[in-house]
Amino acid sequence: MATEQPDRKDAQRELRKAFITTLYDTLEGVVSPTPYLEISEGNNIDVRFLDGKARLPTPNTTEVNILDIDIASLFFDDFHILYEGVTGVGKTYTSDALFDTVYGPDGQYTLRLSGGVMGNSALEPFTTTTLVNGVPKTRIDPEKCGKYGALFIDEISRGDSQETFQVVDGKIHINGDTGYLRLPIPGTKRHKGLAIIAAMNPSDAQHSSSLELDIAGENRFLKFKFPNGVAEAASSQLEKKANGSLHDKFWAEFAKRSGKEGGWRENYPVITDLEQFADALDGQTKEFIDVALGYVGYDPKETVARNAELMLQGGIQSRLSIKEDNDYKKILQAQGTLKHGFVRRDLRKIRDLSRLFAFIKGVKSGTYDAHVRLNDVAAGIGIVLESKTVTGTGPGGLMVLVNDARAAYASMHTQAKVPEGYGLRQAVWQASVYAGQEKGFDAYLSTLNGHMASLNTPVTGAAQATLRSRVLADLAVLAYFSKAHESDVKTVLKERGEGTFEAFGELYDEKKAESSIYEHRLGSILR
Amino acid sequence: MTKIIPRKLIQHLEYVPGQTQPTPQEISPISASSQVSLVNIDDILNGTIFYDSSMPVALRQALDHVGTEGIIANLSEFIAAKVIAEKAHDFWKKWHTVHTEENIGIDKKGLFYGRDEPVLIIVNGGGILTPERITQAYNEGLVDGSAKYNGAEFDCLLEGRLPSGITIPIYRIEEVKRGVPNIPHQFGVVMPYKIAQDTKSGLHKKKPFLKNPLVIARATGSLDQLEAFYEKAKDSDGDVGNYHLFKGRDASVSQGRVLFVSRDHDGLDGSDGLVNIGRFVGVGAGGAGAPKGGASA
Repeated sequence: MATEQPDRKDAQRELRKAFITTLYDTLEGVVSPTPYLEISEGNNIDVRFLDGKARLPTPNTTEVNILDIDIASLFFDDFHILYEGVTGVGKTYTSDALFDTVYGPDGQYTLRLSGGVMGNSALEPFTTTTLVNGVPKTRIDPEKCGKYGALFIDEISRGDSQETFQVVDGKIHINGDTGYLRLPIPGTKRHKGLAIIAAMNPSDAQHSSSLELDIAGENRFLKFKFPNGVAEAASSQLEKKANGSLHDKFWAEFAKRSGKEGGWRENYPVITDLEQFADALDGQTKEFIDVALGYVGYDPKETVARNAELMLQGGIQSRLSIKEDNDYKKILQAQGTLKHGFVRRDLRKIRDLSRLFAFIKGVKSGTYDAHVRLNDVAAGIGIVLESKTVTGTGPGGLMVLVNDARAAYASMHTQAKVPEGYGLRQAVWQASVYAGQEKGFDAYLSTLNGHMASLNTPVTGAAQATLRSRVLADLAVLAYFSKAHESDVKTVLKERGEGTFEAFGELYDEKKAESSIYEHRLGSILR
Repeated sequence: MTKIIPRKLIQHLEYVPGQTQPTPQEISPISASSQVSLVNIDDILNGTIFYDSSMPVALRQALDHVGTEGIIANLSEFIAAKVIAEKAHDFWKKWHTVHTEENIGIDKKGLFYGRDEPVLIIVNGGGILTPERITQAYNEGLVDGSAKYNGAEFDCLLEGRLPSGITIPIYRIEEVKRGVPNIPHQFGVVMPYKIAQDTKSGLHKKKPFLKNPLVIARATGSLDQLEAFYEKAKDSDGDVGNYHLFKGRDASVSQGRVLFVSRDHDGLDGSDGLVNIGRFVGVGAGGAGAPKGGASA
């Protein structure tokens, strides 16, 4: 068993590689790249929106274009792409070409929504209408539900949002029946969800019939402002056109490169199985998201004060503070360009963007993996922040904050010598459990207290203080939880091996309803 | 279910009841890059000396003594310790080896100053040159007095990844000059190799010494102590040494060596090569009072 796993992973990676390289090669003569953004990595991360205007290549810089985003999105069933842009910039062209290539004419569907009583329904491709006693009855058609691999929804903001969201969620309901929009993944009991790319015009004066997508819609998509690259691409686009069946050409070439016979229905669900990226975000990157937001998106003094208040409730006096100096003023100045702070759905967006960029970088570097690193999360946070700035804000101001947070976190992580891929809080909790397994509850608590004492040290720099305060407050909550349930924790520590961690998780599940603070502060550590 | 970390990877984080817990210390604001050491400078002053006519042996003894919680003094910590040491202290009577290494090679990916730029990376607190790696270098034969690295070792170092699996921050010399707060015990400083080559190897007066980019890179972590170090180390002519042998050494063959600190005004010494002798200063987790080991010489 131990030797099978890497082989299977390697085989999956080779399939991905063959699929993606063949796809880019097939579309090379069809789609002219539309540059979207550029991520530069060095000691600092920088994210620059290109708005269709590419830059000369420089080392350690990844250009991300619309085709990259479209292709990468095929591998993630749990989020979809939405392009917002004016008419005529090519929002549908790239996606059409991609879908036609992968799924062929019968394996994809383009839905153009319109408003009004007679407007078409997003459910239409998956239903059949028959006459029953002379009355038309619409029913879910199970065959159609499993027919398509991808759906392009144009003018998504104009249809009946309840119906549209059922389709986007992959589960439709009509007259008490339920239909699942998905494809079976051969050789498994899992299913591949429908790939969906949507487009809409901006709701501005020039597009008077266009509507804003509501919050529920925003939650379901990663929205990108589609760049207008027409002037840049100029006549290079004129030479791009599809000759013959891209679909047949693509799968024939794929078979040649991979040695895998069969059409898209046999191969595509296996190649793009989401399961292969299940652990894309590890404990370290998740923790960075947790601790960084209180610095980049909120007044760090308030964040530190909130964490200090929580620590005090746990009986610990915080020694962390932020001076009201020039640096602090600069932070507030940068944050002043934000229309509004982070909201819950931004966390999801950061996670999804991080995975998307990690995958695109994996493709461009030739590793074809999607392992998310701190830089990917930093880029994801940067993009979400930039999307919240008021009109006219110059680029880069907020990325300085993201970079501060990244450096502060990396330094804290390195100082504690926590292995790569694991969070500091996770490591401290698990070290405490190991100590407790061997020497009892006192050793468990000593380890926890020891790390709190070592972190509770005045530091210079607002980022250091803010990030530390979050880690400290979370550990203080853990210590409080452990003392409040001392006899249960003692029982848990008598378990052996990994059973202890499992039992601790069960104890947490059982008690977390006592206060929502447990779920907010301990969920990402213990579960 | 959260991912379980193998115990051996985080055992250094465990405390036992009664173990001294870190005392919170006020860290004053800094104007220059300063270091947050894992131990007190006083502890280094009273640390245990690990001397042996074999450098790998001395380093192994020191590492075994300090374990995962203690440290072997790096160059910046040693500079800070010399500043407060009496002139009668051994630090001013004998040369010492510091847990700092200088590595040169090519930045093929252009992570810092452009693609294929030769760079110098000074690593403090332990890098590529473990006792085993030094022994291997002796067996394979030194290159210009340095351990010859394979390409991957240096490429990973540029990314802050060490063969031990841990990662360290790497600061550019420009960042250091602007001021980096809270520098950890284990870290790297990178600079264009050409700048290091162009610095004078030898004795310096005060101003040239304090402004020397190689001195700054070497002393990163104790730049706030550098002037005091100069004043204490200078000879009657006002000279303090900073030595290297970068001129003529080809960075296309990636290589590294450890640094020494002279007993007197000869100062910081990178010109001795990877000689097979070492005198390290180790401080265990319990500070200077921890059990002694090694040999005094």
